[in-house]
Amino acid sequence: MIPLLMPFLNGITYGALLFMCASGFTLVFGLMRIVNLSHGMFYLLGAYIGLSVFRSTQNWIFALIGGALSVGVIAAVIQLLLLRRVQGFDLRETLLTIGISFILADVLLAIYGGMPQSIKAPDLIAQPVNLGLLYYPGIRLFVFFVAILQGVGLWLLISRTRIGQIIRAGVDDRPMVSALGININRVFTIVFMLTGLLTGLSGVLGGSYLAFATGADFSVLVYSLVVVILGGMGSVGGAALGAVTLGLIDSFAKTFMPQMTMVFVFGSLMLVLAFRPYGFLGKER
Amino acid sequence: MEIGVKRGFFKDALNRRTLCMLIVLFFVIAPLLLKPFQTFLLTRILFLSLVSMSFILLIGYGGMLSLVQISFFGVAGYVIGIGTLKYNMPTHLVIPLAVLIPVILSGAFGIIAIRTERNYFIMMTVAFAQLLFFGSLQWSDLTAGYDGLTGIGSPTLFGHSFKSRTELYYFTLIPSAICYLLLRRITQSPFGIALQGVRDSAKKMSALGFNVQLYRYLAIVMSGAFAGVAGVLGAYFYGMIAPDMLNLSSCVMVLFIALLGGVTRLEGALVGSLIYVLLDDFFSQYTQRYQTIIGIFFVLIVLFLPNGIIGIKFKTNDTLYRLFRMGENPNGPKANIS
Repeated sequence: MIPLLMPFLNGITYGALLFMCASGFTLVFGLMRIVNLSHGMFYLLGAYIGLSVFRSTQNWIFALIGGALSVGVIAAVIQLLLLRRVQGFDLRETLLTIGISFILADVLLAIYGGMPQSIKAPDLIAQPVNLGLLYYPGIRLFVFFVAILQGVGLWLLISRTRIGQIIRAGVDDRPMVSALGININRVFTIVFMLTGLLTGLSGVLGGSYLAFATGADFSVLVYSLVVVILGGMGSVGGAALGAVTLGLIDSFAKTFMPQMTMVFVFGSLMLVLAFRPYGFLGKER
Repeated sequence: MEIGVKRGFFKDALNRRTLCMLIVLFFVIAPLLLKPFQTFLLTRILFLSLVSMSFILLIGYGGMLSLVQISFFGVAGYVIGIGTLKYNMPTHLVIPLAVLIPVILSGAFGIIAIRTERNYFIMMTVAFAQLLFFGSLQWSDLTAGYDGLTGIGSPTLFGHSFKSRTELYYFTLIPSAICYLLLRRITQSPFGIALQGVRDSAKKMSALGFNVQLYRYLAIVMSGAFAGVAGVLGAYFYGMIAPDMLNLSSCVMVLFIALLGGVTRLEGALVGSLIYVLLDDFFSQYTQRYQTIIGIFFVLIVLFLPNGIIGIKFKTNDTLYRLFRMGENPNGPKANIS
């Protein structure tokens, strides 16, 4: 039982981190129809900025806030200055995000070098927790709870607030929302900034127990893609479901057949797409 | 004005033909005109433009933005490397195999990918590219993991080894030229025209009785084959193959080349790769941060020059326009990357 419990917990907590990354991705895709290929870079940027803040203040909470806020601001600037110029041309938007990620990757490499780094979480959180059957790293459990908080927060935002109402309407019928006199551009900026915030935060959290280096952005991006394809575009609930599924697949494969991890990950993706081309909870458009 | 255009028409056509002949002549005798290092760069320009043409076939004519082309290029390179180094296969056997495997892979990928469109299609290509990248890393018995395979010797055909830079140049030029002519033929054939129809309005084409998915599928497989040929040439050029060839920055290189030149015509790839290779060579001498510079250029092109250099519209009375009749191709695709 215990040999299965460990990969199970790892899978769930990794799924929680994936959810934190992918929920922003799915929002941007659902509302703005942009495949944000710089999404992995947001994660890495959050991790590196968190690292810098941590080094200068020695305060982990400041690192979390600093990483999240700065990536949020960077995302807003990217949206306002660059993406808005090509709004409506979906392929150009996607290409632009590739270019941005390409530049940022090189800039980060120049500043921080290529060695893997990690952020040291405070002992209170990092120490192993006794779960009865086994000791488990506290930071992973912490990430799990933050992810649940974030999920609930997002759900409240989307289902209970006016901006959430606009987002939901925008996912379903964007032209109609703007026809009703809502400034959809401002909503786009807000959503993109929110995505930056959440992804930057997940970067600092993830960077506190998984080492990161340039190149990690690409795996984060691909895992977010897989989560969103599995769960269905534009659906936050789907992202949660997809993230836990992928986390479990990844963790069990890594435990029992590490060589075949990617085959399992993409095999499941192909399988889901073959039977449900729009993912678990996605709507056909 | 009307008369003026008509009177000038024959002259323009003549100029265009002369220009084409000059370009062909240049490529044929290039090793005589250029220094060995320049010939070396020109070789690189040739196969990079071929892989970018395979990208243009999909995006410009099929409306499918594929980020997996460089991976097929890399897979072909791996087949050359593995076949030559591990199994000592002769060149004339390993080359067909190296083209066949990307065709099979793109065939398998296409079955799933044609179910998706536009943004979903892009995501499928990213996911598949990543699968191949991890495959090249993790299948280390064959691919030697991070280190890659080095020391792929010169190709030997008909008992002749293409060792010198000039020989390698012709070894690259001839297949590239054949592939270019084939691609040109394909894009101008009824198939190519129908593919453009599918790009512009899949629904209409479907209503007219065209099997839209089949056209997409065939385009994906063909572009896989051309990327494979380019990969063969690239593997012999570099003499090595490593997982780097399959990652995102290589993919950006193909995007950059195609977008810089322009995706509305196959020739855009040649213009783009010429400029890319020169930029790359120039900046990498002076700075390690040439990736940033290339990236900034890339963003600027996407923002301000969506149809690339050959898509720039000149005024009809410009000399350049009359020489090249730039930005106008009555038989070519009209749409841009929107």
